Amino acid sequence: MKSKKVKKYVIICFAIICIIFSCLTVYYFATTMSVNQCIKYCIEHTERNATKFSRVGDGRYVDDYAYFIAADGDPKKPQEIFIFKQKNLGSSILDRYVFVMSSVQSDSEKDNNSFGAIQFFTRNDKGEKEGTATLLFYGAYKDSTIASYEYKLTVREGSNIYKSNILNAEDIWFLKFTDLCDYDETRKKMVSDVKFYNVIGELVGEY
Amino acid sequence: MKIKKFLAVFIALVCTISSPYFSVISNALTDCNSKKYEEYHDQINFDTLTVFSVNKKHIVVEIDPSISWFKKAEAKKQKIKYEEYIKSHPESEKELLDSTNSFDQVCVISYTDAPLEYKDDHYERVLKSSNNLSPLFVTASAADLTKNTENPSPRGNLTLTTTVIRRGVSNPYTYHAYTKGTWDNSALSGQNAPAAGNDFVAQSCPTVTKSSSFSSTYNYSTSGSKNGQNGKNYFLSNSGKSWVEYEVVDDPVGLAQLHTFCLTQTFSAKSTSATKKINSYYIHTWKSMSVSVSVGGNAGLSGDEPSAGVSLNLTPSLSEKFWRLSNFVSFNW
Repeated sequence: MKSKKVKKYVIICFAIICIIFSCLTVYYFATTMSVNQCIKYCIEHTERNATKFSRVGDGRYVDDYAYFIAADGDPKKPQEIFIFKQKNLGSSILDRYVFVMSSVQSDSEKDNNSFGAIQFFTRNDKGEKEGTATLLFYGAYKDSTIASYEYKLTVREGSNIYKSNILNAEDIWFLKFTDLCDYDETRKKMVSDVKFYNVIGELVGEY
Repeated sequence: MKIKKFLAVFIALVCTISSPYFSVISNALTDCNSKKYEEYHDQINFDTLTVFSVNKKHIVVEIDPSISWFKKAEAKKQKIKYEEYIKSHPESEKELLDSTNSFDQVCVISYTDAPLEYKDDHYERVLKSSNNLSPLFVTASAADLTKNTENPSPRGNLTLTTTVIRRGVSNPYTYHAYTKGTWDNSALSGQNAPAAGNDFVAQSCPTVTKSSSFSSTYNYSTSGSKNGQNGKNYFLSNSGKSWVEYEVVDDPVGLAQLHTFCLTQTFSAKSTSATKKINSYYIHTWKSMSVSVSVGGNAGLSGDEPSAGVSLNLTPSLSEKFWRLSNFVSFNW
């Protein structure tokens, strides 16, 4: 009689746990997007009428974020980026994302349209804000065919100008500077005077 | 027996959940410095929000998706408050953008809007109508309040905004608390200017002041510039370990018609879950007087451990011809 009661309790507890997990899973899938859904979201919200968005990063290898950059659309309109963050289901890493922000949320109609730039403070694993910033540059390759760039990097030891080529630019290009900080001398890292050149070496944009 | 136990647990649960609301109510009661006058106070905490600078020219503020489910509702509330604040104070968007571009992390913005009316050669604060005498009167913005056109005297507004930014990469962080006062007055500069006394601006921080500075701008050019000069238009008049007080020249109907002032106080503190509170005070006078300062509470004076907060009691030497406005901000990151 007693063992029957225990069995009943175990079944009830198990059923409750199953229901909770099912609810959490349904909630997870309802509030996150697959890569295709992210692209669909970008296409629905683009202001340059882009039909193609290319992804940089998958929320694991570059950083926590996945960046979707407009690869086509009206070249007279500003460059577009949509930032998503990977969200895991418990400890399971699934390729699903939540929306973070997009450049179209800003009133950037009159901005230089050869490149886009975004700066923000990142968060650590605990979700706390870090004291260092991330700076992104991005664009559709065919709009201004940006092939190289130069920037001034200032660290504790002094400043230097660096020149680099945009590698493997097919439809979009993307640059990322991390851990930027001008507060602590020992960790000082500043990027300034960024210049972008096209394939024939003409200056097409400055930041 | 079982029911009693259940009730005890239920009451304990209700008390735990509702305690933050009681503290909010108690803050509203104690910090509404003037229950007599119309004013609107609010603060936006950026802990759960991320600020993006787009092309160095625009700001996008979004809720960070990595925050816990429990904080989501609070984050949504903060975002709505931010949007309302920017709508009513559009100039603040540029300040937020400049901060982000300069690697200054905005922690919190708090503001108090006070409508004013021009009477007997000076601006007075607007008394609350009898309908609004509740100390919890925080439902209408100052912009709405100034729409009252029954009183034909010129209306003005004073906004006291405190912005706290955090700099650094690890504990202890350096915090800068800026208290900016912005006068929006419609009375024209007059030739028959009444005797104008200096105004007083004070601020306290939860640890030790590392440095402080002040600046002011005027509606009209005084000695070749609209910017105030240290020693001439303003000066540090008093200070303690965790507070500073500046005196600034203001002649509301003369040339030195104060437009903005900004007191900056820098302090070092650990970023912990302990609440850090910053209190700011402004006393507007229209007759020369002095102000004595008494300090309540203790600042964290060692180890950059913030205290709950230091409050100041500013007492003018005259019992009239002045009014005060205060602002406060509290955050825990």
